[in-house]
Amino acid sequence: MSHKNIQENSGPEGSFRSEIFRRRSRYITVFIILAIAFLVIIVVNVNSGNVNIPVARIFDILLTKSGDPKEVDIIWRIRLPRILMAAMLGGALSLSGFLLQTFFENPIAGPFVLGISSGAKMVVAFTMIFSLTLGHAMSSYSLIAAAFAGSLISIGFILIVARRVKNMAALLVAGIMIGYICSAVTDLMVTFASDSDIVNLHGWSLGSFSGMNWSNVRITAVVVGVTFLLTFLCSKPIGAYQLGEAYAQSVGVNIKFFRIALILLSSIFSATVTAFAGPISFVGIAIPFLIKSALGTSRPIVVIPATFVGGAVFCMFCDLIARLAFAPLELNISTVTSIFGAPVVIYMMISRRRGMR
Amino acid sequence: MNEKYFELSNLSVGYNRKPLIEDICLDIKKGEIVTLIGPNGAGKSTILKSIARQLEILGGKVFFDSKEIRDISYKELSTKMAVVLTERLKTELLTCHDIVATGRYPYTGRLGILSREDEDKVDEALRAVNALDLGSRDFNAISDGQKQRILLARAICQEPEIIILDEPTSFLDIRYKLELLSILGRMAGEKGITIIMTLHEIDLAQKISDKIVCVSGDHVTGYGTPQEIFREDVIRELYDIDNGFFDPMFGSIELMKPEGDVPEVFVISSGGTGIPVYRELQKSNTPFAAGILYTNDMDYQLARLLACEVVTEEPFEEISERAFERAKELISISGRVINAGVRIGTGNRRIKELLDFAEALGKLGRAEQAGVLE
Amino acid sequence: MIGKKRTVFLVILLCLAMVFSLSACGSSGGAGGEASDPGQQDSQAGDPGQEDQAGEAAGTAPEIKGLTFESEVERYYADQFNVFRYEGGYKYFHIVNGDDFFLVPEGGTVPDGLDEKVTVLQAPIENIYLAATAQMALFLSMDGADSIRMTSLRQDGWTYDEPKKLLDEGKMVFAGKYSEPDYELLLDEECGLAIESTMIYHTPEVKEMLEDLGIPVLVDRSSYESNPLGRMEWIRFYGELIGKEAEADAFVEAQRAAVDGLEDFPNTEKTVAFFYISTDGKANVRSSEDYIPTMIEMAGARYIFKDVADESGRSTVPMTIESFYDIARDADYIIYNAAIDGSVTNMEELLAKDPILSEMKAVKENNCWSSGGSMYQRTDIAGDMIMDLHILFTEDDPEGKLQYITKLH
Repeated sequence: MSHKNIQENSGPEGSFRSEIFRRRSRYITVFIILAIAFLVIIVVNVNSGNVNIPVARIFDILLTKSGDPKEVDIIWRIRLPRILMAAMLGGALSLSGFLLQTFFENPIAGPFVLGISSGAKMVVAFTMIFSLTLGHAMSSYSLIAAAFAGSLISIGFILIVARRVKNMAALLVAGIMIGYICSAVTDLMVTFASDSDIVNLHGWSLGSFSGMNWSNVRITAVVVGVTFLLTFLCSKPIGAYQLGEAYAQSVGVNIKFFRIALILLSSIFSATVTAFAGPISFVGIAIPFLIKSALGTSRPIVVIPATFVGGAVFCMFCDLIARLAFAPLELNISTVTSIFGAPVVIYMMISRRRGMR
Repeated sequence: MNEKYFELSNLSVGYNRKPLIEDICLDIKKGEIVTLIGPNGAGKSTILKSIARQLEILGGKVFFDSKEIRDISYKELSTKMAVVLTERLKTELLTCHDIVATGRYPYTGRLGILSREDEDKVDEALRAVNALDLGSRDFNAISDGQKQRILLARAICQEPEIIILDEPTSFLDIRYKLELLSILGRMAGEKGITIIMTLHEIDLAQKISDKIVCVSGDHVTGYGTPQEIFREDVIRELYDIDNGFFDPMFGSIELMKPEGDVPEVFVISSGGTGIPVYRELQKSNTPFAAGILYTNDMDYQLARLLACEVVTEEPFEEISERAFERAKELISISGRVINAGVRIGTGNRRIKELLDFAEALGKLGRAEQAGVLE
Repeated sequence: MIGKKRTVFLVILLCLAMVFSLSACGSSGGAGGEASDPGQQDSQAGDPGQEDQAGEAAGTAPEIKGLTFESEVERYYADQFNVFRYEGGYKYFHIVNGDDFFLVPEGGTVPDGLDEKVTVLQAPIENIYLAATAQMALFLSMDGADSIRMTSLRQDGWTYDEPKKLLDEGKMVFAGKYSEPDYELLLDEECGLAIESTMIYHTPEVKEMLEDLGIPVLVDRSSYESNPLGRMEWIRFYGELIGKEAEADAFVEAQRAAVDGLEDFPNTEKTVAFFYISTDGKANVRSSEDYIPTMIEMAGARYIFKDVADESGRSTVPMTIESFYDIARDADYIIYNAAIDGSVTNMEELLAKDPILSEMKAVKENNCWSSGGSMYQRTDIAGDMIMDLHILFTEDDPEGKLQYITKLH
């Protein structure tokens, strides 16, 4: 490209176009790094497990789906579904956090701040305790449906409140209250339950990616995929919303509808994660922050895809650690995400206060 | 044509279904600058927010280009009306360019991607507010005055027909106040953009507006040109001023005059020399009298507000006997006489006699001598 | 713009509806493998020792096309399973309120017309993953440890030596607890059967995953036996499964001989309080119909907590210290359940649990004992345990003669 062409492309010094030009190269760099990280972490994940399978055979199995049936099963039925679920749910969780942070105009809002995980836990506990007494055996889908139903109940309440209440703080309080109420109900049920019924409740509430199968992957892919697309299509109104509701409305965003859409999209993401893997903490707060810092902007049209991939990479990485750190015992995924995520969040809060001074 | 451009017809506005201001009737022409003034909490912002459709209208109608504003979709309205509000933005990692670029939203496609043309308009808008150098900086890192200009640029970038501003000059120092208002004046004059805003600085409002709307109590108490509205009694009543004056001639604000009916000092001055002395005496709460001032002298404008008595003379006349005698009386009453630097010419040569009279009584002093003005 | 938002809203609702319908399908059909229904309506899972809903054993052997029924495995005490032998080495296993299994001998063929719900197993069954830890003792007692390759307890989780040694020598490996098995290891070791306790019902996704991977799951329901010796007799069930029928038989006979003498023994009418005190300050006693009180009765004493039962069928019932003291203060013996709470190794530690204990008759008469983890894990030595208890109740100075009970000093 001749010098003149570059000038034309990048615009005169100090102009908007030149800034966009500079930013674009930064975005491209970040996306390339993310893509590489994504591929690397997938490869590492597929390659590691308690059973050692040499890398060459892995590629063979992945591509041809044939070979030693034992190893094929391990790769295709155990590792791959799990990796894909970790990726999709990680992305979903990060986006859920991003959407709520936009809504509350506060970077510390997490995906479960509106009480979704408490609602899910309540219905899961109910299912664990009463399903067997009522004579229906539990299938894994009972728990998934239970968690989803519990999330929807919480979401329903929040939406009702959100339609009447204009004040953010009041909405937040409502979410916290719902969380408390659901926890109280859960504790009440636990008091009457036998130990064996609820022995796995605590483990459930710390989250796990183990035991994922392909039908889980299919459902998650559809739900997360559609919701991601919708979120991405909302990049423009989200960008307007970042200036506050008043300005967003003045450029044509239908605020009443949009608030509900934000809450709904975010809730579907976090409800899906809770349903399949249980509540997982810190991902929704740490990842959007890291991504925005890396990209140097909070414009949704780049932040949304990057956050999704970032969340996928982070969760796959944490799952790797959870699986391998003390093999064959598995750590709960929240434990690992907290170890890595909490320092990020703490740093974020400190640097914010410094900035505000 | 006599078609109405922007009309408020029996408009009622308020919060939570309770009307704050009722029966608002305004008829605004294209390209006019209309300013709402009135005491705090009167409801000026409420009216603006209602016009901008941020707040539900409680009664009456708003017509924009003969269409009822309720029937215009948000999207269409956003190509015609832009706002600059008082809320502080809480942005994260957005540059000024980004902020201004949101003004292009009504014109961009599904994903909000800006075209070359949009990018140029952003630059143009920044240029219009003299903030081109701020473009790449983080919005949070600039001063309040700069932020306000960026927000105005954002509104300009939206290419609206009307810009609504809620106290746009509140956080600005004098320089930026002037700058902002001159930009608004240019927008109205050159581009025919109608400006509807609220201002606290009534002196500025007087100077820039085409129409003034007075808002107080529960209705609009006045609507007219600055000449009609800016009279001392109107302003006094509007703001319920009992501790000072507003001088519409110069658009200046004065504090209360010194207490007392009996002057302690008599100030002789002309052509503006008396003004600093009056101010000093006012500050020390010393009641004074001033004279002999021609009513077209600028000293007179201030003296009539601050002095307990002013001895005047008709312009271009010689000093009359009446005035002269009264002045002498006052000199006798006063403890001191200050010659603030009066210029004695042919017409007012009798002033010299007054000065001599004062000197003979031992009361005369120059401003500096008298301890006024160190 | 408004129209577009509405469309978005509708699409989201559609997604939700989709997920719901999919999950509804899933729970009825069970994606990726039929969830082996525990079958009948009133199945109730709980920890071992559950009493209600035990159910009746099957009456007659099922008709199987092409096979002639030979005999049914004899049972003295157990009534929660049946094993039917057919000509040619084919065997049909029925677990009351549980699943049915059909064993095809080596070289045999699967007959047609078998009910869908019956799980077919191919002999020899190797590389068993044993996640029902109480059954390990049974396998060891019939020399069947070779069939077991993977266990759900680490070395330090076992309370007796043999499994510890096997793990140490690498003959068995730890493959994760029942709720989180190491699927990869299971596949790698070519696990032929996963034997799970009823706890697996609380983690249905694990059962589904195992079956998905082609590993049959057998849920042990020996805890539903009302007779403690019945639990022990399940060794016949497993013996038939892995071809150690003769050894299993011999073991049962030996235990029977030891206990037979007790049948006509007149009860000493001494009273026993068997309990532990949990961290929240409650006394936890076994419900009256549980196997431990049954063992006490068989050994010739009376469990002092008569008519204590829990509506939901739990085997351990918590009660306040007051209620506990009210009933048990005059008990002749205290046996502390050190399997659950191992912190009590002497009198001081017992009394530290609650001051009121020092007022109890058994404490004043220095008649306090504790039983260790073996009570739970050693299902095989039910007979020996009963004998131990018998010695405790009948001899004047039993301390040196006891295998599984220790005195608290």
